[in-house]
Amino acid sequence: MTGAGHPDLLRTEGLRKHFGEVRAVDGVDLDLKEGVLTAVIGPNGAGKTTFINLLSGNLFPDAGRIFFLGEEITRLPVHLRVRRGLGRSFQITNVFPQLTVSRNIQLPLLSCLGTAWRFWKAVDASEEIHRRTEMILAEAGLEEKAHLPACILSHGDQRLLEVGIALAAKPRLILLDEPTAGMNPAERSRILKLIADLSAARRTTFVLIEHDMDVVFSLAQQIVVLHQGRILARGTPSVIREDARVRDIYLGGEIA
Amino acid sequence: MLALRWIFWLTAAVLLLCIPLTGERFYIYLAIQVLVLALFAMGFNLLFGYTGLLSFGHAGFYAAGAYAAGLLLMRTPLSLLSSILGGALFAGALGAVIGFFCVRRTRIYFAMLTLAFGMMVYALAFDWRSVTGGDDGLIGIPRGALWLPGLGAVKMDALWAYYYLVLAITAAGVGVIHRVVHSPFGLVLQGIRENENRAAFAGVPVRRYRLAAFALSSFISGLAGAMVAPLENTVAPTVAHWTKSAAPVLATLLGGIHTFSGPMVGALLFYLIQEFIERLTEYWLLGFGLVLLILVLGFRGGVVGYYEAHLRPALWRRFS
Ligand SMILES: Nc1ncnc2c1ncn2[C@@H]1O[C@H](COP(=O)(O)OP(=O)(O)OP(=O)(O)O)[C@@H](O)[C@H]1O
Ligand SMILES: [Mg+2]
Repeated sequence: MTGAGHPDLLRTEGLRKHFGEVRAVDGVDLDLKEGVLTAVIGPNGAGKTTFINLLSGNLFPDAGRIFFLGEEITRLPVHLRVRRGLGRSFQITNVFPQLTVSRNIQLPLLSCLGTAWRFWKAVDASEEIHRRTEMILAEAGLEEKAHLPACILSHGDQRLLEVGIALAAKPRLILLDEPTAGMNPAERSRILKLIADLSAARRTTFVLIEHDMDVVFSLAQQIVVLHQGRILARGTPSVIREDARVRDIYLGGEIA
Repeated sequence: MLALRWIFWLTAAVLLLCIPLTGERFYIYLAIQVLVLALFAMGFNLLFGYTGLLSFGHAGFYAAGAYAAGLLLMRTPLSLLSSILGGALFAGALGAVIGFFCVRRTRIYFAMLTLAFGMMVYALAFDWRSVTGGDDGLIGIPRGALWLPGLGAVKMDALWAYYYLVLAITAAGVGVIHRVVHSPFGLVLQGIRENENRAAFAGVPVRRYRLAAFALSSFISGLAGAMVAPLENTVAPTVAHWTKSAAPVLATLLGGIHTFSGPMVGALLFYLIQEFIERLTEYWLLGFGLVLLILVLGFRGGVVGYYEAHLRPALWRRFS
């Protein structure tokens, strides 16, 4: 991925999802360029997770459309979005608990190389898979734990594995829902460095939901503020920092 | 660790090869029963232990294999081995059709769907007289001869000869399963079992994989059933009864779901417990239920699971 990124990486038009009376996502128009690290912020219940769920295919919208790389994906099943390069991690850790760490990584590698239907060769027989697994484990800093079942890892390591699984599918756009949730400071800086490095190397474009404003303002190139299911503001960190409405919804607290 | 495993497999192989030397029809027949159930349960566990789908209708596929193999032997000039394979293929195809509907649901709903389809197979076996022979079943299935390269036609009339054929087919079936569960395909199935949502987000078309696992599982179960037709020279609707679907479930629970060899060990235990208790009391099911209760409550993960979690580490510490 060299040169200019795709100008129309992701676009939504009038995206809407209501749960009964709750307008979780209520008419969101957003477009993202490749290579621009975007943070989505907003108070609890603003609709951030629901928005990501619509983009990733976990939920289908009540109205509106989603385009990825110029093609409509509004009702495309999850696995096909992943194959096209749209990956995600989850707010609540979501790994394959009984499989080893390296198997957790190999599964998406195999399915995205299109070799997962092979039923006659051993998983370990492929040099290519082995090499890529090592690479992703090294990036996530999990080499030492490759042979442990995922369920016995620390919370922070599971979060890193979670991102590793998403990366293994070779995404062009990756949606991270609170990747640093519940992490200790050391783990937090590890995962943020991973995100910053991969983003700088232009390997993939990140959209992250984050509550920690220090993280948001140090990492993001663009910030989208959601409030009651709508986009309240959008712009560079310095613009958002000065925005009066944004200050209002955060009660002047965090964004000082 | 590796050595222990090899000792186990080698001992098992030698014992299995030696059983006909006893010359006792009873033991040979019992061993065939164990082998057939072992393969049946291994096929079942591909879906249960590896893919995370509990089927209560696998007797349907076992019976499909038995009926199809029986009909092929009675009504076509196909050889013994081709008929058995044909029976298994028929069961696999039936599994693909039934599975198409079943994999639309998971958990208890999946189990209920398989139970319903299993009962339909039983009803069909019972009512479609012109083909299945109704409640009498198929009678007078010839065992025929086995054509072996170099040896020509080898008669299978002797029980010991047929035993070796069953042993060979079971070993081949288990070999296939072994390769499959260690392949990328097998890894994907385990991923689906662990977390189907995550599997989809790893780019896996979950339903299609479940269907493939269902069909393969039906094929193996059908292969087990197909070996019974020439053994008994008859197939009756009881092979399709839903109580027959419980056998692989119980064998797997006894031996251990999440271990490769669990269902086979469970099949052995199943018949040993049955034989033993039958000698003590005519209420063998009651005794069997008790034993099952103890094993499930006391040895979670089955006998093999217990061995791997507790006994093997202990052995390992002592001998290393
Ligand atoms: N499946 C659901 N059924 C009903 N209501 C839901 C569902 N999912 C979300 N909601 C509601 O929609 C609104 C938006 O929720 P969402 O999880 O998207 O918020 P969020 O911005 O991710 O919040 P947080 O910062 O707490 O993670 C909330 O009021 C929530 O209660
Ligand atoms: Mg959320």
